[in-house]
Amino acid sequence: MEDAILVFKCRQGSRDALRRIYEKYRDYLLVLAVALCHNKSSAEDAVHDVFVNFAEKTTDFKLTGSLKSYLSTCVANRIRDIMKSKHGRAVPLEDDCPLVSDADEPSRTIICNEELQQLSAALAKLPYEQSEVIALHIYGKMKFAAIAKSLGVSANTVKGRYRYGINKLRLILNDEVQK
Amino acid sequence: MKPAEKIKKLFTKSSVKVCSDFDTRILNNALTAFEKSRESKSAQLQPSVWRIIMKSSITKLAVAAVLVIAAVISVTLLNKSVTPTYAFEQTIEALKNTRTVHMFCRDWDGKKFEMWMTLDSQGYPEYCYSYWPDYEVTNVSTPTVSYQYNKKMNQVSVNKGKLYHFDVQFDRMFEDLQKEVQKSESNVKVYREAASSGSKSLIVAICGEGDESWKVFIDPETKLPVGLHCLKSRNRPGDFIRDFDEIRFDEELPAGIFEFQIPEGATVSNIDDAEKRLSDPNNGISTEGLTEQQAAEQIAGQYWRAIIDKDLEKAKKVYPRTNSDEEVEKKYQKYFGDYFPSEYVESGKLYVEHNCGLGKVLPCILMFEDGRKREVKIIIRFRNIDGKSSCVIAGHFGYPVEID
Repeated sequence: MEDAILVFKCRQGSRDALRRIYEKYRDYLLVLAVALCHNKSSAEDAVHDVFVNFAEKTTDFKLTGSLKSYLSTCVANRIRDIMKSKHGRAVPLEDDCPLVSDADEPSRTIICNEELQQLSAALAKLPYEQSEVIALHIYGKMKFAAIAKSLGVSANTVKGRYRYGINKLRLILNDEVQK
Repeated sequence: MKPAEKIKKLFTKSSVKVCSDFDTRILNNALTAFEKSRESKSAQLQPSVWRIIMKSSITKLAVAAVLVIAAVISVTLLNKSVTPTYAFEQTIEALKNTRTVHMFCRDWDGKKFEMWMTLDSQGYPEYCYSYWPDYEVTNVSTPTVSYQYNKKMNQVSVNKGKLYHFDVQFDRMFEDLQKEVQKSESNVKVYREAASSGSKSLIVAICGEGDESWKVFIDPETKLPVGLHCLKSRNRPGDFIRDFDEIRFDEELPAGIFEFQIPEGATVSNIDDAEKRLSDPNNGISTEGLTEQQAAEQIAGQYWRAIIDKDLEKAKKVYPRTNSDEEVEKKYQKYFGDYFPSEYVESGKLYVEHNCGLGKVLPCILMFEDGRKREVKIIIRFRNIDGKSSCVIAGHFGYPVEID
């Protein structure tokens, strides 16, 4: 409800409404982005690009569902693009840039807590297509049908990715416990 | 733990700390992109086409009711010093084609709120959405189901049909204004006044005499009312709007504005059940032979004694609640905090609170277990059921306030 009003006001030219949307979803999207790409630099870039792109489009933007889901999907898509452009294929960037804060990297402006690092490390071991679906379903609370629509694949494909991903996570998380 | 639950838990506990540089970079770039987009849009702006969202037939704002009456009594008033004449019929005609209203209002505490409405064929609010940023309260009223959501408390009240004590009072405010206008033609004065912004001068109608007086601003081009200010009002519970600072018609509605989803973890209470209990003659006390003040003091005395004795059954008899004893106790703990009332000291004068539609308000002074005095206001509803007058406590108004 509040989102519908904020989007409406953005369309009417309210800078304050745009700022409020950013403040409302910044942390949520950053957590999602870091969890998905295991790289703070790419996560920052993805969230940056999504908000700037959203700001550009607000004049004609029509909110048909949840703004949170929309922004989540945008972040997931943007991360996929960033990963592809950097590596030519969608793989986690765990070696690209350390997730923990690094004193040699003054430009890095976000600090992740331990849980986020654990989460990102676990999801990084999955193919991106699976971690994306798991994150959007569990964290973004999106239904499989909605994820399928946003990704342009069938609902069965999404369910399959989720199932395979969860099975792999079971092994990964059990291994971690045993270690 | 299942992997999905483990992941969910990790997500829930995950957090990031963000430096201000990050916000500055994103916000600056986003706002620049926003402005550029708006500039390019305005350059290619086409004449705007009003999007009609609701399918309701031709409607008009409740303001029209005031003006219709004025027209019926053939009042065509104008300031002789102003060349273009104005007649109320022009406003009535303009209002016939309005379907939605967007208003920026202030209540009697001066708190600003915003309201969107669609109007029914009689010109009364059909769907209504309002948001009070200061209280973080959202109201959604529809013909089938309505919600009041308090974000701070994470509480949702639900009732069937339109919202209780909300738009009903809004209509009544105009109905009473009609009566004032009907009493005498001299109750309406029309002149022109420079608008606070822009070069356009507005038509101003001062309506009402005696108990009620309103200043209505009318756009000279569209003839639609663009603002209303209450100059004088009768004290009635629930007349919560004092000023309509700005009224916009046929604006596009925010998508899904009248759809409400109960937030996760919110406490939900059913107002219909509460209303039934408030209308139950077995609850409350008889007010036969008593003034309202006497009755209010009597019921307050019974209620506070029951609270001090922690006798919830007795308390429920005068303040009927739908919740279980355990829930009621939790609610009182949340309301009173660490200390419960230990002594009922005295009550003040019963009065009408504009922002409260449930009944009249009685301020009560109580001594608390920490030895401090606090004022707690309770809402008294007076009823007449089958010819017998009685009253019941309909709720608390605001929170305990410490006093010297």
